[in-house]
Amino acid sequence: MLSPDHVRVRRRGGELQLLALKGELRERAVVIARDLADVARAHVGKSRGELEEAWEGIAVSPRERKLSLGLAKLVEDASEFESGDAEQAAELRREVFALAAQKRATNALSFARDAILDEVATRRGTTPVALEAELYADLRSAQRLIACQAPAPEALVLGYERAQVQAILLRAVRVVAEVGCASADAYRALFRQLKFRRLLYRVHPLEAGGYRLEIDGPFSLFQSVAKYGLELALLLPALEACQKLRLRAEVRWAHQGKPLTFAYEPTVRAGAEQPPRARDEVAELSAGLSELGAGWQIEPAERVLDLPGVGVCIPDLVLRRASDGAAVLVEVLGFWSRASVWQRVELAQKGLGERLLFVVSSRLRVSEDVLEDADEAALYVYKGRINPRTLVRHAERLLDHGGPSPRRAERAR
Amino acid sequence: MVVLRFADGTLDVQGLEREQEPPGCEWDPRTLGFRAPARAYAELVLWLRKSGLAYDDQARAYSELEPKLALGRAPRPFQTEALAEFRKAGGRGIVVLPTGSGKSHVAVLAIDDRRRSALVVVPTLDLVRQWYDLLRTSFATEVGIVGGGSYELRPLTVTTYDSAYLHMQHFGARFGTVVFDECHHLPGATYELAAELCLAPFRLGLTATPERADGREAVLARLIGPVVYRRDIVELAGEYLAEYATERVSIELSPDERAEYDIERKVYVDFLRASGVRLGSPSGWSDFLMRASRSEAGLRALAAYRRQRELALAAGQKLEYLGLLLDRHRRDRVLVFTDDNATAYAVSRRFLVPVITHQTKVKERSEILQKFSSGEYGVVATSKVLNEGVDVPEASVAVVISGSGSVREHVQRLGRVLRRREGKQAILYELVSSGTGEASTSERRRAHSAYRSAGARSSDAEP
Repeated sequence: MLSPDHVRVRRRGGELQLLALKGELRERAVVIARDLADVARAHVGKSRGELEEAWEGIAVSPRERKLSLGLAKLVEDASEFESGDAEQAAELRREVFALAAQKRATNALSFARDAILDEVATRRGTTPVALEAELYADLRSAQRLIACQAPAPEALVLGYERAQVQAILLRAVRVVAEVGCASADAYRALFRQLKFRRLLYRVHPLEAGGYRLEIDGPFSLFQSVAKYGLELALLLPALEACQKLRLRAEVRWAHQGKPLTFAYEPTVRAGAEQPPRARDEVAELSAGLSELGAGWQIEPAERVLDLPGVGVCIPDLVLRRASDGAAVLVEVLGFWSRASVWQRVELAQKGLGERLLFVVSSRLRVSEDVLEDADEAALYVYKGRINPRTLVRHAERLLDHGGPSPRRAERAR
Repeated sequence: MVVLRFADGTLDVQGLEREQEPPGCEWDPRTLGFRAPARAYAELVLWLRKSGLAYDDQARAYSELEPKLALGRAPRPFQTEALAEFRKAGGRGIVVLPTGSGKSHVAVLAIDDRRRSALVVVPTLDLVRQWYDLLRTSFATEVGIVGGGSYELRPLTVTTYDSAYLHMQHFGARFGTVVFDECHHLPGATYELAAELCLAPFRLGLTATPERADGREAVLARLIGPVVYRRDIVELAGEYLAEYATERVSIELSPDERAEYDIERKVYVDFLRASGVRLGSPSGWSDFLMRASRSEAGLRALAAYRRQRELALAAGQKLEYLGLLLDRHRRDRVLVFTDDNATAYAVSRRFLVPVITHQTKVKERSEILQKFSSGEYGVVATSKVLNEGVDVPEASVAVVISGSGSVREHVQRLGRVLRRREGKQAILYELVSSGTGEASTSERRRAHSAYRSAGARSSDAEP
């Protein structure tokens, strides 16, 4: 990952803007990338210190300086270094310094450095020059370059452009992202990342579809801190995986007093060109429901139901009754964890404002009874495969009665 | 029922109406509840009790400390006074005592007095090792370490400021007492969070020099508590600290170095004048860096600045003089301080003495310090990592080859040789290249009472 020191930006009022690489400068970037990678490949077998010194020798103008440092970092990330034997070097130092200390304490004459090196070198069957070289062979600058796998120069420059955004987010105190995903699973992946990164958020639906997420951390309520910058930077790939993304971040940049605003809207997104694909069990259920014929319309859901402080629920399907247009949202939890079921139960008990049917495998050992008192939600626990007819019965009950589940009603009869 | 939860270094407070406004809390629309920095825990709990509100405290995860103080070392009178003042302040406050006077023992007494699981936060890995030994011996129990590749939490744990900043959000509820050693490090955009995200109701800060160049020591009162006790070096010298002298030695650059220094200095100063940068202003240095990065002349001026500084700080004559000092003090324990790693390694290579920098692994550091302590090594070179806290009572000579203009750094370096031993006379040599910018740097860092005592003198280097 690049650091903010590698980023080419300018400040315009309260905005922080990336400087575009175009025209002659882009051509220069490719040349510099090629030079850096060539020098690295030519230094395989040599020390990191020597490589860095050789890189310093590549002529760049002041405006190309950060670009060059950033590209060098990417080449370095694509290289492999080997450390000298730390134990061996430490052992040598131990021997040399102990002898030197002994001589210094006992010898009334001036300290004789060369004699000490000679003595240790003779003992070890080597030369004083080789001995000196080995003395600090375990330092970072002495690490040996053993391979350089840098990509082609054009790819390196592209990588630099993308890595700059992540480097800026390292200094972010808050991110506002407008996202649009074509599938429930894509939204789920994003919210899973938010939870995994222990970030907090507020969710607002957008008129044109999609959601605006205001993302920061627990302590951000009191102080605008960059503590969550690393997590926000690591969240970027999950945001970029959305079909639509427009991002604005507040960043603490250099010694600027107030945070600056940084805007980003990727032009090319990884995976965005691929059509959304539902999970197999959801696709199978959807097909099964369609085969049932008239009476119900099935469509993929694109909703994020958020209950602040409790969590989100992202249904897979909307089951709409043809006769009155009433809808039930269906989330297929399948074999997920029991914890995810209990979280849905808590959400349902606190009220999400929608009719929700959670579909859970019996292997999770959860009873449908746990939601029997809820008016707006129900559990359908299935054995083996999801039965579309039973699911529809649950949906009808939910819309018409909000009473006990069909199975419980049957048992009661 | 009000429910308190520790949530990533904050307190999540559920079950209160918005208009109740608990102290230190703000309404959090993200979770529809109140939230406070974990630091506000004690204040919040006292308010709940005072208000007669029933609450379920799921936040507190610290325990009563089982092991009692096992080592019955009698405290010195000023240590007893410091503990009494800390107690009087409700177990929150800062104790200011000179290096070498036994600040750590005050902390041990305070931890024992409060009897809560305790976390000690220190600036360096060397200090982690030292505190680990101290707590283990004092309480005769195992001690946890977080930092330097370890992550082991125990009722008594030592960590670094860096690790505390990174991990306090995870373990900040597990300690009832927190000790910030060298607490002048705490104010700052990042380290401050180590105190904010910690729930410990009892907080002790230790330092010899709370004052900071940026004036941010004022926030220590909020993060830890007020200064509850203070004694100066000159008050304790002789009785509790070793007698000491300081000697500033002016070193002449060689003719070649002088010629190069003058050329490089002129390039740098001419650029400053031409670009109108005022280094004395608060943003002076960043203005210079920004302007320097924009032109060939600027980059040349930056290189010239670095070179003239390097010539002044690492003048060849300084190493010659160091050779004389090492001969003179061949039977003493000598610490050699430099401003940068390159010079520290140069000293090591030239005089064949061990060096400790941030690159030295913990195991090797421990071994070097142990051998220095036992007398197997007479000299240790270091850049900045031994500036603070490391306890080597046997060290009696400090040679400052180069350093920053920081008063604190200079006082801390002097402190390394002040730990008292019978008949010990400590001395600190400061080598300064005459006729260079380093002379004014030296003036700035000596602005402390410790350098104005009768033992301070200046001399010129022998040819």
